[in-house]
Amino acid sequence: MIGRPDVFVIGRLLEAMSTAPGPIRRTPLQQRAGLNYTVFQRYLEYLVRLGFVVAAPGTDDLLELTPKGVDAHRFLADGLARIFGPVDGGPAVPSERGR
Amino acid sequence: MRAAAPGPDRSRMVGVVDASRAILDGAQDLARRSRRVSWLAWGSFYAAYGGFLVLVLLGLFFPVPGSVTNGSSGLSVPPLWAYLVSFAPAGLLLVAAVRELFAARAASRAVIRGVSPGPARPRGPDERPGWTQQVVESQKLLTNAKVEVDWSILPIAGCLLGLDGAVGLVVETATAGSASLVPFLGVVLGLGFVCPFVYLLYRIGQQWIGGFQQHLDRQVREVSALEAEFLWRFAGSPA
Repeated sequence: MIGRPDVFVIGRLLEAMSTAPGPIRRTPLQQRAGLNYTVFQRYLEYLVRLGFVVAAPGTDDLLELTPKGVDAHRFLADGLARIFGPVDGGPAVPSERGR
Repeated sequence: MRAAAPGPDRSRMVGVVDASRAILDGAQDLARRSRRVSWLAWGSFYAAYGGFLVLVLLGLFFPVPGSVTNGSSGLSVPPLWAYLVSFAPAGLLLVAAVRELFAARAASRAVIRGVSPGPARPRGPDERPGWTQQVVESQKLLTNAKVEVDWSILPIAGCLLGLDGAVGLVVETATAGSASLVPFLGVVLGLGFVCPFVYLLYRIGQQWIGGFQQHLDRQVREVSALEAEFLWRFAGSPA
């Protein structure tokens, strides 16, 4: 259970998933997001509860992003970039992604 | 269902996270600079009053040709170059402190404008403080920096008054103690130059740190609003 969630951590997790070449296992996801195990577990559970992440069909341990998760990622990336200024990371996440 | 998309977007969030760290880097830089200002200010203060001691020692133990004797006190008066030697360290330290104060203000403005003075310091995975932790640490650094800069104004004022006194002595020496304008000169310099200059430095210190604090507060408010909007939109509750 997390109190007020850290939007940076959520953003990193969502981004790690959205840029993975396909459904991803927990350990590579944790590494891509650069989070420690405890934080990762807590936030992954939170994202699943919010419906941002689901298990890929027909698998037990592969995770993938839902359209709601894609929206959330775009919302956070845009919002944080607005606050902290433009960053050299290429264009914003296309709105039709994953639809 | 799958929302996968390869592409350059990964660096986007990483870039945002790096940009958010600029505030902590900026606060750490500000803390270093305020410490330097403090050291230089106190150094100039001690150097100014140490200068009087040096002057007395020069006059007492190393009488040089050209010295004159003040009839009323019987003390030997050192030549003009002795003043330069005695008070040059204080002057140099004072100039360095003031320059550091101005440089710090410029650096602070650059961070506020989003211009990083250099590439972000690379950090390992274990060295990535969360946003809240960064804000708390930055606020602590800013508070300490403010106290340090505020207390630096006092020795700078003391140093300037000491140098004001030294100028009076130089004038007295140059006019062989017959100048009645020495006290007048001290007051005029004190009120006309030292007070406004010290006030100016105080204001610069306030603007420098205050501007940075406002910038941090604004970012905190904006991130907080984004969090609330995110939770409202995606989690169905504001907290």
